[in-house]
Amino acid sequence: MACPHCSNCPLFPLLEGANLGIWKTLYCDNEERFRECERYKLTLAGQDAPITLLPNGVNVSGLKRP
Amino acid sequence: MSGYWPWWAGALGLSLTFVGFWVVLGRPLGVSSLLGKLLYWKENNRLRADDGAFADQAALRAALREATAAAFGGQAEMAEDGEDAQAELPSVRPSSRENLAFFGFLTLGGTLAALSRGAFSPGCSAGPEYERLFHGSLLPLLLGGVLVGLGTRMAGGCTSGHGLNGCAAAQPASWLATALFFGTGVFASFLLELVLCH
Repeated sequence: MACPHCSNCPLFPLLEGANLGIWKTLYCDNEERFRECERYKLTLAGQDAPITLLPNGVNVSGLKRP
Repeated sequence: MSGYWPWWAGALGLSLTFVGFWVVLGRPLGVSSLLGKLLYWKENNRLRADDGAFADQAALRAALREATAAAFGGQAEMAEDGEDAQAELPSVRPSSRENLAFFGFLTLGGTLAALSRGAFSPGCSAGPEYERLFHGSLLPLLLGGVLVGLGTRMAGGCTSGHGLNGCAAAQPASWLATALFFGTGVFASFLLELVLCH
């Protein structure tokens, strides 16, 4: 069973392709590990996760700005 | 005449609303999610500002690829995205004004639907069966609301997010969530019927 929050996760549709798809394999579609996703934990605690927050807790908003 | 629209008109209206929301705004419609964003409007505004750090989807994906390569090293190749990635960043977070408009029109739509069937009758009663069971006490209603909110938060969506969006998007978790809350609803209805009849 995949993460139940996928349908409402704004980042989920962007995690496609050879590079970014690894997040889906390791977290979203992984029954054992989706509970470890920092986005999942945040929404479970009643907060909204920014689109820039990766499942491992890294927020890319500070990495690169146009 | 029943106070409700025929089932097929309701189904058609809901389909058009959800598909229209996706086509026009580019994001799935989840009523509980929008309500949460409306209630926590300060947090929502802060996150909107964070989301605005990237001008388009390509810039965001580039940053995501960089962070992915840093996290997994050789496992993740720094492949470039196709043309689809050059699209604008999806608008995932509505403004407070958009949220207010949504709930205003939701209320207006319900009122107009009731008026069209001659069933508009504002009041505080939850129905004769509820009065008979709980003698007008608001506590069970409050408790029910809290449980629904808790379940919605834990499952990551409500009847609209999972039942209409998630099921249509073939998300297994949404199928399970929908089966569970509809199954529980049917069971609770039969249980109440049993209690009311005896």
